[in-house]
Amino acid sequence: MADELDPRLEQQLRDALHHEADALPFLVRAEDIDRARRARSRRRLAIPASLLAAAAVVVVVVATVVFGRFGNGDIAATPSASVAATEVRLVGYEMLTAMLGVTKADLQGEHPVADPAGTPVTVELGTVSAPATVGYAIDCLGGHVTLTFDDGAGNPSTMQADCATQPYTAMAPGSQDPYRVSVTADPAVRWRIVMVAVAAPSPAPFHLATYEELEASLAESSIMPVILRGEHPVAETGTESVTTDLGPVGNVGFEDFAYSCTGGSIKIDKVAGDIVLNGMGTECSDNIELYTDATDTVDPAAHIVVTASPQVIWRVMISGAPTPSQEPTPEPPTATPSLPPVGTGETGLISMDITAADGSITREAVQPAGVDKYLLHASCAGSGTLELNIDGVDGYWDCGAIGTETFAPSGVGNGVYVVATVTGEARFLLRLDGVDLAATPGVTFVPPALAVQGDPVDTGGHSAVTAFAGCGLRWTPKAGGGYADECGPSWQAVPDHLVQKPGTFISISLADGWTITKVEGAVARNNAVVITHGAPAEQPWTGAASGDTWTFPAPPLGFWGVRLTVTATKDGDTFQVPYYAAVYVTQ
Amino acid sequence: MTVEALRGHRPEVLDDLLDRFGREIAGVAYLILRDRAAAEDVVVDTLLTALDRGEQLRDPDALRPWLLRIATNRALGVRRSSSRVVQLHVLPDRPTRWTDEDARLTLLGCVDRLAPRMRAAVVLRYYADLSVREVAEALGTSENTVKTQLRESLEQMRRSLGDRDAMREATHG
Repeated sequence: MADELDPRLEQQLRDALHHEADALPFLVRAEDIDRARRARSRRRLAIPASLLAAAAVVVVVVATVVFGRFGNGDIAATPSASVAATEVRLVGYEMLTAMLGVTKADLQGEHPVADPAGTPVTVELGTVSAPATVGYAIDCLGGHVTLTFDDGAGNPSTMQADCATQPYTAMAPGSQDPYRVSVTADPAVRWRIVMVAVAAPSPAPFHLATYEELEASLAESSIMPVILRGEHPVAETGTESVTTDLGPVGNVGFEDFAYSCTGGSIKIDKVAGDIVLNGMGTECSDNIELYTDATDTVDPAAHIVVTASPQVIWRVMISGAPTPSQEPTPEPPTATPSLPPVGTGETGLISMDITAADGSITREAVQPAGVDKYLLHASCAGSGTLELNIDGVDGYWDCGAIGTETFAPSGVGNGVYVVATVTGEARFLLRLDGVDLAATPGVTFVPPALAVQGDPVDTGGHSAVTAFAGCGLRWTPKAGGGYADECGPSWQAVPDHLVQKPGTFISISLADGWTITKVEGAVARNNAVVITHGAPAEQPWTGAASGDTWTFPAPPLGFWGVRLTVTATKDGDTFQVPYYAAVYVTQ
Repeated sequence: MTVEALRGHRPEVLDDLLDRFGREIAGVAYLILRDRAAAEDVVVDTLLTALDRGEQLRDPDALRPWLLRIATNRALGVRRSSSRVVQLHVLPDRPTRWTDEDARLTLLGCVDRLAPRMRAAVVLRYYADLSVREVAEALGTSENTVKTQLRESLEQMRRSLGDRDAMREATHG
């Protein structure tokens, strides 16, 4: 039993997890849930543009009416709270009808007088022809009402509407037959409703996307190969749903779907036998839709099945890649160093690079003085794996994960080395920081791609700029995923030797292939930013000598922190690096 | 009462669910996502999903594991679809001795490096204290798979702690 493996370690793990999670402030309130629920309800109501327009015009009127309840003498002169609630006048049928942008309602009904002692009241509004969308405007006080659409064929559909004064729309419940509409509410709830049936618009000719079109859509967001596809291109009669097995998906745990369908809704499920591992269901639209199953559910017996009514025509294409094994790679590929060498004694940001590789990269014999602990950040994107060996200790990342590790050098004589073994089509980033960066003099930032350094021209006696790349590194690979430091609100401390005088020049050196798309500067004191400034406004900077200049407005007298955030791209990847320095303004 | 209200899609049940399970759901989601804001979104999403699908809860006694199952799947989905932003642990600049805090951070680091579903299994077993069977149901897999995942996870942690001890001996005598 797993439970019996190591009770002491298990207890340590329990304690660690609870220490980490239970200390978090829990800020979700009932109001947040209620707000989200209302927003979700609104999203489910597909409001025709015409009704929306009508509602937009009428809202002002209704707002006046609502306000009038309390300000225009519609209520008793000196009501108690409970009396006021019962005497508030419901918005009239005419106004409700106007809210729908029409002059005549198809159905209407009301329960205008509260009866707290009674039983739930159901009012039949009448029959609406289908297929249609119904729009309804309701004024309601005291709770909520439930609308029931009953096609008489045993498929009643209900919808709850919270008390408010507003227009809604509701989709016909799916039946092709006329359906009866009724409203049920607690007897204490007072309400008045009008409803119009909006004929379903004549649909534009539907184009069932071809496999080529689906593949093109997939290719825009997925780097994984197509693994399955299937179709039901001709509508059929019948009432029983049709389930189509697209085939086994094996150990693929992350799939991207592209699908096109019309005539109802479809479900795309990953199943193993009778068990649905994951799935989605959706109404068909006129467009190619994309969906990602990112739950990483893997089962050797898993198949992808599509379920839909026989009237629905559909075409589905799926891309995916096998989930990496948890076993370490037994035979590391041949070393293919591609990073620039790191000199002995180098401190601060030891190494940073992004690259696409299939092999091993070794950074070795780095033994900075005065640094006794390191923070290693590793990020990997793509379908491969990234395995790290730090001073002989294995770490492991698959490309769906990123991680941070701290470690100490194993001894003065041994140095620190990092071996990164990359398999598959992976792009990775390694970043190695000395934790006591601020305490180490002479720190220089040595990323191979970007460098901030003092301008070689005469700076008028001012010291050349030195900055360090601090917290705030962000990498966004073109294939998706990415990495970002989580820095919190505080600025990083700047060591004394990085304090600059105002008027210091800055140059930004670019390695081949890089383009600076944005530079943002900020000046702050006590974490309060007082100046922000950005460039370039129009043209990205390319090349090492583009000649662009940029002047940062001077802050007031005193000591200020300066953060220069450089955003650059290379081969479709975006890299954002914040450089920290400080300036002391004396005049 | 809560289950009946859920099956009846009665929104007033949400307050009760939030009071009883909100913090634990947030904890599970946070340990999977390592993002507090995203974890709180998962709480909201989980409760609303439960309200929508209340009729799917057949066993009233399974309410808690059912909610944690929804939350776990939401968190796993969020994790893979988000921009994968990692939150770094705040470390002392100059640690001078190895403490329980080091062990705790080591264990959490191990959890962070686990593959997502293994991490979810560990969180559900050792944070939410679900049984192996409940973890398997939550993740849609077999009990044997969960046992294997937990065993491998613990083994990785044991190795990391052992390596730490070795480093401690080497660097601090």
